[in-house]
Amino acid sequence: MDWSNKVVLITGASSGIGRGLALELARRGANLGLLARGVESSQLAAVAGSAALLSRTAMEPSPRLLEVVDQIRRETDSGSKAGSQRTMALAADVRDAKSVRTAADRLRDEFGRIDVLIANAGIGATTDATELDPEEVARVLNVNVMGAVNSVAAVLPEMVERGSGQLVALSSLSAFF
Amino acid sequence: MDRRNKVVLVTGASSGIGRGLAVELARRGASVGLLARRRNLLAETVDHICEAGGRALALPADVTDADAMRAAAYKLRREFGPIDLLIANAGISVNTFVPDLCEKKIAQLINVNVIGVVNSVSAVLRQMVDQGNGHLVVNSSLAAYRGLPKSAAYCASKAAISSFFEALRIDLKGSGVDVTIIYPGFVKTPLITNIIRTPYIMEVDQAVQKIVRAIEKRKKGYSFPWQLATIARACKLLPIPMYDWIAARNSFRG
Ligand SMILES: NC(=O)c1ccc[n+]([C@@H]2O[C@H](COP(=O)([O-])OP(=O)(O)OC[C@H]3O[C@@H](n4cnc5c(N)ncnc54)[C@H](OP(=O)(O)O)[C@@H]3O)[C@@H](O)[C@H]2O)c1
Ligand SMILES: NC(=O)c1ccc[n+]([C@@H]2O[C@H](COP(=O)([O-])OP(=O)(O)OC[C@H]3O[C@@H](n4cnc5c(N)ncnc54)[C@H](OP(=O)(O)O)[C@@H]3O)[C@@H](O)[C@H]2O)c1
Repeated sequence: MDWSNKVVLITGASSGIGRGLALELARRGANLGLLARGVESSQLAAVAGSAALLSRTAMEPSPRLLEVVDQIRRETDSGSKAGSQRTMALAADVRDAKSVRTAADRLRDEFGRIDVLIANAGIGATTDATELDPEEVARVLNVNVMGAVNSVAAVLPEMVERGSGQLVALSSLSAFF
Repeated sequence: MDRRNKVVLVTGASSGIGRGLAVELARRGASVGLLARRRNLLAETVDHICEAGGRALALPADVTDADAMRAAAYKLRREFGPIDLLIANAGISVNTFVPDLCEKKIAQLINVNVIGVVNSVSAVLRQMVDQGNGHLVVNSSLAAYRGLPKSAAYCASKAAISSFFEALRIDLKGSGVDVTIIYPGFVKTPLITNIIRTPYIMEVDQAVQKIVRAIEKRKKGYSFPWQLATIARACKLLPIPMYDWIAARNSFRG
C-alpha cells in the first residue's frame, strides 16, 4: 500500500500502539493527524475528566503528544524518503463528540480529507467482581466504546460522500472469548 | 427450584418480557420487585399480581442512575428480605444508520443497555456475595453473536453485557453467586416495532416460560428459539466475507 498521499487520523497517538503506528506510518510517508487528550493552554494543569473542563475550548496538545510529533520531525528531517510528510497534533478527548469532530474538521481543513481512521484510544482497568464500581466501568466504556463511536461519527459522512475511506478499530483478543 | 420466599428484582418490568417474568415468578411464589421508569404501568402490574395473591413491590427508577438503583435494591430488601435473584432485563433498541451516526442516541442506548445493567448488578452483588448465594441473570440477545445491519449500537450493547457477564461468571466461581446469560430471538413486544422481518417470533408468554426454565436450571447461557439460535451460532463460525454477504441480504431492519 502506498501511504505517501494518504491522510490518517490516529486516536490515542501519544503512547503505546498509537504512537508506534504514528512513527511507522510517518516513515512510510503518510500525512498524520495525531489525537490525544490535551492540556489547558494557560497552564499544563492536570486534566480532570469533568464535563466542564472537557467543554473548554482552550486546549492544546499535551507534552507527550508533542514529543511524538517532534520525533517524527527529527526522523523525516534526517532525510528519510518521507520527504513531504506532514503531521498535525490534535488535542481532543474521544469521550467528547464535539471535540473529536472539531479535531477532524481541523485535520480536513489542513489536508483536504481523511482517508483512514485508526480508532485506537483506549484504557484498561481491572474489574473486581465483588467490589464492582459502576463509575469505573462507565469510564472504561465511555473511552473504549463511545470514544470509537465518536471518532467514526466524526469522519464517516465525508468518507461515504467521497466514496472511499477506511475505518480501523483496535479491539483486543479479550473480545474473542 | 422452589421460588417460594425467593426475593427477585426484575428491571424493565413495566412492559414486555420483564413484565411477563415478574408476573410468572410471582405466580410461582416469589416476592418480586418490579423496576422501570413508568410508575403507572408498574402499579398496574403490581395490583394484578397482588390480586392473584402474589407479593410484589413497585420500584420506579431509571437504571442509568446508580444511586437510584442502590436505593431501589435497599427498599426491596427492607420490604421482602435479601435479594436472591436479579433479572437485568431493561433495554432499548434503535436503528443505527450510516453515515450520520447519531452519537447522542448511541450514547443513550449504551447508557441504558450496558451501564444500566452494570448499575443493576452493582446494587445487589455485594449483598449476594456476603450471604454466599445469589443469582445474576441478564437479558442479552442473539444480536450479541455478530454485528447485524443497521443495528451497530444495539449489537454492540448486547455483546458488551454478554462479555461482562461472562467475565463475572469466572470471577464469581466459588462465591455461591450464579450467572446466567439469556439470548432471546424475536419476542412480540413494543421493542421490535421498528423491525420488519422477525423470523421465528415468539409470544411473550412462550419466551417467559423458556427463560424461567433456564433460570431454574441455573444455566450458564441459554439461546432460543432453537431455529434462530442455530442460525446465529452458525453465523459465528462463518468467514467474514461469507457472513457479510449473507447478513447484508437478510437485514431484519429493512
Ligand atoms: N497493550 C496491549 O496489550 C493491548 C492489547 C489489545 C488491545 N489493545 C488496545 O490498543 C489500544 C491502544 O492501547 P495501548 O496499549 O497503546 O495503550 P496506551 O499506551 O495506554 O495508549 C492509550 C492511548 O489512548 C489515549 N487516550 C486515552 N484516553 C483518551 C481520551 N479520553 N481521549 C483521547 N485519547 C485518549 C492516550 O492518550 P492521552 O492519555 O494522552 O489522551 C494514549 O495515547 C487500546 O484501544 C487498547 O485497548 C492494547
Ligand atoms: N423483544 C425482543 O424481540 C427481544 C429480543 C432479544 C432481546 N430482548 C431484550 O429483552 C429486554 C426486554 O425487552 P422487551 O422486548 O420486553 O421490551 P419492552 O417491552 O420495550 O420493555 C423494555 C423495558 O425496559 C424498561 N426500560 C427502558 N429504559 C429504562 C431505563 N432507563 N430505566 C429503567 N427501565 C427502563 C422499560 O420500562 P420504562 O420505559 O417504564 O422505564 C420496559 O419495562 C431488552 O433488554 C431487550 O433488548 C428483546
